[in-house]
Amino acid sequence: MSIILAGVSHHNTPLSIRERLYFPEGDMGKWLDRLADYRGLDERLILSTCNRVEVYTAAEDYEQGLDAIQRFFLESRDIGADELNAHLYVHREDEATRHLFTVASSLDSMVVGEPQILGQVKEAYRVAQSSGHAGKALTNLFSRAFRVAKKIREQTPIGESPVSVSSVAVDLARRIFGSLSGKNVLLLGAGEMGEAAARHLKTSGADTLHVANRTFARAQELASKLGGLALSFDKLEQALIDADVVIASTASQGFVLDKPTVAAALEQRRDAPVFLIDIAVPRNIAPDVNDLEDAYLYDVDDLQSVAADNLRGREEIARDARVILETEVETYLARQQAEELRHTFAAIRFFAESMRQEEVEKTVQRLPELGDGGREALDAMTKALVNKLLHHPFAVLRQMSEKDVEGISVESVQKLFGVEPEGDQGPPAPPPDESD
Amino acid sequence: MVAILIACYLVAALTHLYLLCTGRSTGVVYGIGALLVGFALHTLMLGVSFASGTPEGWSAWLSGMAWIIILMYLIVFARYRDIALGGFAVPAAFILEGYAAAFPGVWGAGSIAVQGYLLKGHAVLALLSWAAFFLLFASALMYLVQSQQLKSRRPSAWLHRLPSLDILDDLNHKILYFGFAFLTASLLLGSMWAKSRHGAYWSLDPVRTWPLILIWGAYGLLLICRLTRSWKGKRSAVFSMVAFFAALLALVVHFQGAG
Repeated sequence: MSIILAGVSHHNTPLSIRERLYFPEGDMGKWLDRLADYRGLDERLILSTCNRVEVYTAAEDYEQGLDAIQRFFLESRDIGADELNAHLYVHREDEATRHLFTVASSLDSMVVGEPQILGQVKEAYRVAQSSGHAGKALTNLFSRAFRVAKKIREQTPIGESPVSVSSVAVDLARRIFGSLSGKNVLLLGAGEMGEAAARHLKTSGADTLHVANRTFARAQELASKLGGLALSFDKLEQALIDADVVIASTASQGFVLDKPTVAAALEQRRDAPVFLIDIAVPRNIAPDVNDLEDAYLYDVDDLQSVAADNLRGREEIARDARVILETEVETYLARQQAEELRHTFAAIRFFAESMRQEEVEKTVQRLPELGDGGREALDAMTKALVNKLLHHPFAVLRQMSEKDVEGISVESVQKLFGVEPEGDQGPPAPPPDESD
Repeated sequence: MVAILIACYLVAALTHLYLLCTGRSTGVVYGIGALLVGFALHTLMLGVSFASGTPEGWSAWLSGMAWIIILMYLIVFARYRDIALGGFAVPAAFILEGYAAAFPGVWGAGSIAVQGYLLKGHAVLALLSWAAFFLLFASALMYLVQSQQLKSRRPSAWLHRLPSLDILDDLNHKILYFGFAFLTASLLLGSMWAKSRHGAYWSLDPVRTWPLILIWGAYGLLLICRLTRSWKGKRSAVFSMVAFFAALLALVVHFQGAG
């Protein structure tokens, strides 16, 4: 049984092609059923996100399996063979394992370390598992991938630093105020980035949101959209006293807030600090406001450079993470190999034992004069013969697999003895334990 | 047993420093676990030594100081779930305890024979207040660094290793309350002891008493300024740090007088 993975991702495929290959989330069960109609794929899973579409399968025969996946893409999606072949990457076994671990750990993401991908991989697995498309092989692989992702998140600070302007703003607000609950946000103007930052702060726990705009109707519109309260611009001074976070995003050509205005508000606020985010270009808040002791002012350049620093930091952390990942891949593959070897040995033993019993039975029937004593001796002799015959090849095979010697693969041994240890006869795979 | 205790504190100190300097979150359980085991042993040992008679000499008091610092840090950890303060508290406690164990009789047992309930109370409360002032120093330092990080607009990785300004300010405030209350009570008991011994409240050598009164005044001023909110975050943090060094100096002068 081999794992085959074929797909496209943001690395090598433009959105215009990815969107044509995308499988909508709701119908995943249906698509998996359809994939199951192609011969040669024992287990199936589809991972479809805005950045990647990947099909993970377990198949007896590599060529047949790959062909099935390609035909599935061509026949179910709006894409031609040339276009598909130009973008589709295919990994099997070790490479497929490494790829999945990298994807689940968010090391292959467009924004390295982003947290959504692990949830998406888990959901894809859940759908495949609950609809019976993911069996033992994919379950082993995916449950390991979830653990590796968790380990990397725990052992490296990969996802900790924010990398977008509005998440940097939320993060900085948290470093000032601790929790955002009970905090008031004042949004000045109706710029798009200001709106995004305000929304992010609100969903991160900020209590109230006031929206002020020169055009009151626009303020009302935005306030109702964001779940806040509209405010007219002449009430700004009072609003400044109440605000813990001020986001300035107006189209004004001059400063909307200058140092004396903010200083007066701070005076009224006693020792409570204020976090000012100036996302407007040209700037809305006078830069010297940052000289006031309890005012922390960030303009769009500051936020962007923090985000860029953090992203660079993530790339560096990703290098550490890849080292952890590589060890995990090796451990997993070694364990898989040992497992497969154990199954093969068991199957060969089973095969030899049933053949031995068959032959003993035949001999006993042919020579009835043997009696009970003779039968026992025959049994013992054939058992010893089988054990001795198998002892040396097993020892050599074990040694070779431990030392990773090329040449004789477990597969070729299976072929040699005509055994196939893995299959669908085994007990159903348990769901992976995500709690550890 | 002392060796196990010191080993536990060493492990806890190294873990806390590692966590503080790398900003990682795995390993907190080892740091706190080792600390709790050490603290339990420490409590047992101090309990036994108190039950078998008043411990005497410097080492017993240094060990008591280490115990109080750990106790305070554990309370802070339970309240805020943050290990940053432990990066200061645990190594300090390890050094105090290690020093106490390594030189048990360096100044000779009984060199500060503490007799009578008034003087014992004075000394225990004083320990509590100095431990609090040490932690105040540490959290004020963290406040200054964190506020500098945020002001600079190009924060480094320390931004995420230290607690938020809000937590640090709250911590400074509360530690100052406790430290000042303990110091006040300690000075009151001390002067009552002086009265019972010498017949006057401030009968001791002025060199011994005045530094402590100045320190009490300094922390009192800091507290009043905080309460009236005329001194805020940064200024109050700087003052707390200066006051701590002054307090150390005053303590040395106080004991020089006693010796």
